[in-house]
Amino acid sequence: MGQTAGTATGAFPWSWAIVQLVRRDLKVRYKNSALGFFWSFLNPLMQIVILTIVFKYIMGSRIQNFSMELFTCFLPWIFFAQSLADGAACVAKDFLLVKKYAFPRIIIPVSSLASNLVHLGLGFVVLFAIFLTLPVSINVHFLWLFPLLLLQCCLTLGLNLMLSTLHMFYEDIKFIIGSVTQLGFFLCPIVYTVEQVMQSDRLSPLWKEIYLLGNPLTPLFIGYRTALLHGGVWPIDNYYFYLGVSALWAVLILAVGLLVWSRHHSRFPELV
Amino acid sequence: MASALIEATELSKRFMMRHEQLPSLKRAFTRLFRRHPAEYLWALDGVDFSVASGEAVGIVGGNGSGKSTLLRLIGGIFIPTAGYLTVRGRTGGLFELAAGFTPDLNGRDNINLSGALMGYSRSEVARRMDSIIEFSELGDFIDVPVKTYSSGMALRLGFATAVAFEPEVLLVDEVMAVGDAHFQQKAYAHLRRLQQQGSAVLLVSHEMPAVRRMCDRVIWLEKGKLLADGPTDEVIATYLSAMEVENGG
Repeated sequence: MGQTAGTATGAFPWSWAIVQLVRRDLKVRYKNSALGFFWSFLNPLMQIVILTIVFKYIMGSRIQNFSMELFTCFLPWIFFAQSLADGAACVAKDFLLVKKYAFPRIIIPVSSLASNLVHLGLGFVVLFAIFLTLPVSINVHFLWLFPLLLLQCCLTLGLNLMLSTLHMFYEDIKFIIGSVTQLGFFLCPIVYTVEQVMQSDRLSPLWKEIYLLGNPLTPLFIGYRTALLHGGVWPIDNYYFYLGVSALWAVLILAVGLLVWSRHHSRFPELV
Repeated sequence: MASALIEATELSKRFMMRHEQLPSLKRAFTRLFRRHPAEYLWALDGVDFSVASGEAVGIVGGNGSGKSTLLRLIGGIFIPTAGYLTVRGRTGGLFELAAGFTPDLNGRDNINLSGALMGYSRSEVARRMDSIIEFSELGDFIDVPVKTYSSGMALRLGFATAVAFEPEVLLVDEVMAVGDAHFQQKAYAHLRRLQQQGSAVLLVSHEMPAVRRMCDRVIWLEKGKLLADGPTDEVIATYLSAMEVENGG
C-alpha cells in the first residue's frame, strides 16, 4: 500500500525532489527582500556585534579576539537553532504538498535541513573572506568542519524527525522550541570558552564531566573553534573521547528520530 | 477481470475527529486524568469495486460521502485502515485546485517541483516541459508567480502537469468546473484519449452532464458506503431520485 505515483529510480531516486524543495525554500525566503541572500549573514553579523559589545565591553570578558571566537561558533549555532525552528514546523508548513503527492515524507525534513546547510555554507564563505584580511591562515585543520558538520546534521535531523512528528499532534512545540534553544545557546561554549568552564572553581568535577558528556553539542563547538582558530590544539584532555560520545549521541538521536518518524509518517496526510 | 488496474476489497478508512480544537499539551494533560472516548469517523466503510484498464468511472455522492478519501487512497496519499487496495501502475491526481502549487514560484518552477514530488526524474520532467506549457496555454504567464493566476489558470497548469506523464490511473477530484468551456472540452477530450490508450480515469464530480459525457460507469457513495455501481444513466437516475426524496420533492 501507499505506492508512490512516479517512477523515480537510481541510487538516490528522490534527490532531485530534495533539490527542488531546497530551491523553493531559498527562492521563497528571499523573494521579496532587496538584500536577498545577504540577510543570511547580515543577521548573524549584527548579533555578533551586539554580543561582542555586551560580553567584551560591558561584562569585560577576558577572551582574546572575542568576536572571531564568537563568529566561528555562532554560524554553526545559527544553523542548529534555525534548523530546529524550521524543522519542527516543516511538515505542517508543507501540508498542501503532503495532501497532494505521495512522495516519501522524509524528504521534507531532509530538504529543510539542507536549505539551512546552504545558508551555513554562505556564512562560512563570509567568515573565510574575513580570515583573508586577518593574520589567520586557512589551513588543513579546517577539514575538521566536515566530520563535525556531519555529526551536527545527524543530530539535528534526528531531533527534527521527533519534533516535526510531535508537532503534528501538539502545535505547542513551536512555542517551546524558542526558549529551549535560547537555553541551549548558553549551555554550549559559544559566548564563553570551554577553558573557562574547566577552570571554574564553582563547578565540581562531576558537573564538568556532565557538561562535556551530556550535551552532544559541546564537543562540536569546541571542535569548530579549535579547528578554525587554534590549529587543532584541543583545549581539553581526551577531546577525541568526548567527541566520540557526542557521535554516539548523534547516532542514537537519529535512530530514535527515524523510529518515531517511521511509526507515524503514514498518518501525516490526514493530520495536517 | 483480465487487467484490473484498481482492486478494492472491503476498503475502509477511519479518521479521528478533532472537533475544531487543535490538540494541545493542555488537552493531553487533562486527558491523563479524564478519559475521553476517541471519536472516529468511517470515511469509507467496506467498499468493494475494481476498475479495469480503459475504463472511465464517475464517482458521485453528497458532500462528505467519502469520494475524495477514496481518490486519495488510490493515489497513495492515505493508507487504508482496513481492507485491501491494489493499484497497478502510476497514478496522476488532480486534488483540490491550486493546492500543491507554491504561490511564490512561477509556473515553470512549479512544474519542476510537482514532477519531482510525483517521483519523476529531472530528464523525464524536462522532456515534457514544453508540451505541458503548450497544453496549459498559459503563454507568458508561465514565468509569472502562480499566486497571480486565476483559478482557471491554476487548473490549466495542474491538469497539464498531471496528464503529461500519461499515468495508468488518473484521479480527477472536482476541479474541472473552474475551467472555461474551451479548456474543459480540451481536457475531457484528452482524458478520453488517455482512456483509449488504456488508462483508467476516475472522475469525482457534482456536474452530472460531465459525468454522463465522460463516464461509462458510475459509483455512488454515501456516508462511506457504496450504494450503487453500474451503468452511468442507471446510477445517476437512482442517485438523483434519492436526492429528490430526501429534499421532500
